[in-house]
Amino acid sequence: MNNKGRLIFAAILIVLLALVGTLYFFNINISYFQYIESGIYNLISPLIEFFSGLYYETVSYWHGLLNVDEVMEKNKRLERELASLKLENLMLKGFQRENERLRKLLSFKQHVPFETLGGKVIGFSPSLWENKLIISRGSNDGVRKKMPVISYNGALVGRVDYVGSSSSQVSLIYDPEFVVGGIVQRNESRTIGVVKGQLNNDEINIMEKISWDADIQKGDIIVTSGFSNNYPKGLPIGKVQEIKSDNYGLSQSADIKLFSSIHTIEEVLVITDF
Amino acid sequence: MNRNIIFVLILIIGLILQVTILSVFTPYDIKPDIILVLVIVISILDGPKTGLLIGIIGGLLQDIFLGEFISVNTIIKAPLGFISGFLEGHFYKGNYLLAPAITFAASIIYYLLTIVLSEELIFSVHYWQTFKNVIVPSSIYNALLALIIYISLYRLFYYGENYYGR
Repeated sequence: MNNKGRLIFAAILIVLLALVGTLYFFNINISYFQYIESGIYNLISPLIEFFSGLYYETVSYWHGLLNVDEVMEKNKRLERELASLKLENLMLKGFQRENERLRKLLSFKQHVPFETLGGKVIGFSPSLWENKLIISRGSNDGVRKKMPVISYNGALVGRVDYVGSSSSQVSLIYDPEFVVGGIVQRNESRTIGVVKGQLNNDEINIMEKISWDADIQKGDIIVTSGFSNNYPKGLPIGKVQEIKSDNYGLSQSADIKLFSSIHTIEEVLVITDF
Repeated sequence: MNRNIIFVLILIIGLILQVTILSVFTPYDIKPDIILVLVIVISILDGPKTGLLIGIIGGLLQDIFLGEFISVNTIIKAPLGFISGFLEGHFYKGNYLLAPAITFAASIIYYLLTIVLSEELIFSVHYWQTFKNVIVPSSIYNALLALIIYISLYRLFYYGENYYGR
C-alpha cells in the first residue's frame, strides 16, 4: 500500500472510529441497525445450536462409552433414589391436599406456580468480562426481554437480556452488572439486602446494604425479595458463607454461595408469566 | 472464492467455537478470545485493508452476541486489526513466532481497553489482580492459539509468497 493509500485508510478509520465512538458513548440506537443486528443474530444462532447439540451428543456418547461401569452404578443408585422419591411424592401429595383444604378453610389466595418454559443452553458469552448464556428459546416461543430464568432446582440463574427469534441471551446472576433484591428466608429474620455479581467469581455473589444490626447468620438461605417487581418473590439465590462489616461499621455485607452453577447448567427454565 | 469471504466464514466459525467449546473447556478458568486472534493473524498476513475489514466484522459479530450492535469490541478490534496490518510486508512470513508475540501484546492492550471503556468495570476492577490472574493468562492462551491459526492460514493461503511480504 502506498503513502496516499495509507493516508486515505487512516482518514476512513478516523471517521469510522469517530462515528462508532459517538454511537457508543452517547448510547444512540438506530432502528435500522437493530434490523441488521437481529438479522445476523438469527442467521448465526441456529448454527450455534446445531454445533452445540453435535458437541454435547459426541461428548455424552464418549463419556458413556468410556465409563460404562460408572453409568451402570449411577443407574442403580438413581433407581433406588427414584423408589424412595416416589414414596416421598405420595406423602407430599397428601400434604398438598391437606394444604389446599386448609387454604380453603382460611380463604387464602391460591398459590399458583409460575408458567415456565424449558430451554437448552447452547452457548456462552464471547467476552471475558460479561457472563451470559445463550439458550435455545426465543421470541417465537414467547420469550421476552427481562423474563427471570431459573435452574431446574428452582434457583435464580439470571434474566433474559436479548431475544432473537429462536434463541435468547441470559445475563447471569454472577455478572458484575447483575443486581437483585435479596431477603433472608428465615421467618424470624427477614433481613433485606442487595445481591450483586462480582467480576471473575462465578460462585460467590455479594449481598450489600444489610443494616448494621440485622439478624443474619452463616448458613442462612437468601431468596429474592420481590420488592423490585423484576423478579418473583422467593426464588432461591444462595447460602450465606461469610458476614463482614461494611461501610466502617455502618452496614454489613455477606458472601453468598450461589445455588446455580454455570459448570453444571445444561437446561434452564424461563418464567414466562411474571 | 474471494479470500475476504473465506476470512469472514472463518470468523463465523471462530465465533461458534468461542461461544461453545472454548467457553466450556477453560483450563484454570482461562478463556481465550479467538476472534481477536483471528483479527490479528489475518491482519499481519494480509495487510491493513483486510485487517480493518476483519476487525470491524469480527468486532460486530462479537458485539451482536453480547446483545449490542456496535460496542467495545468493534471500537477496539477495528484499529487493532488496521495497525497490525502494517506489519505485513515487513517481516518474513515463515517466521512463526511473530504472530504469537504480536497477539500477546495486542491481547493485553485489548483487555485493558475493554476495562477502560466499560463504565461498569473501570472503577470496580482491582487492576493488578485482574492483570495478573486474568489478562496475562488469557493473553498467553491467545498467543498459543495464534501460533496454531497462523501456521494453518499461512500454509493454506500464503505458502509460496512468503519472503518479506507479497
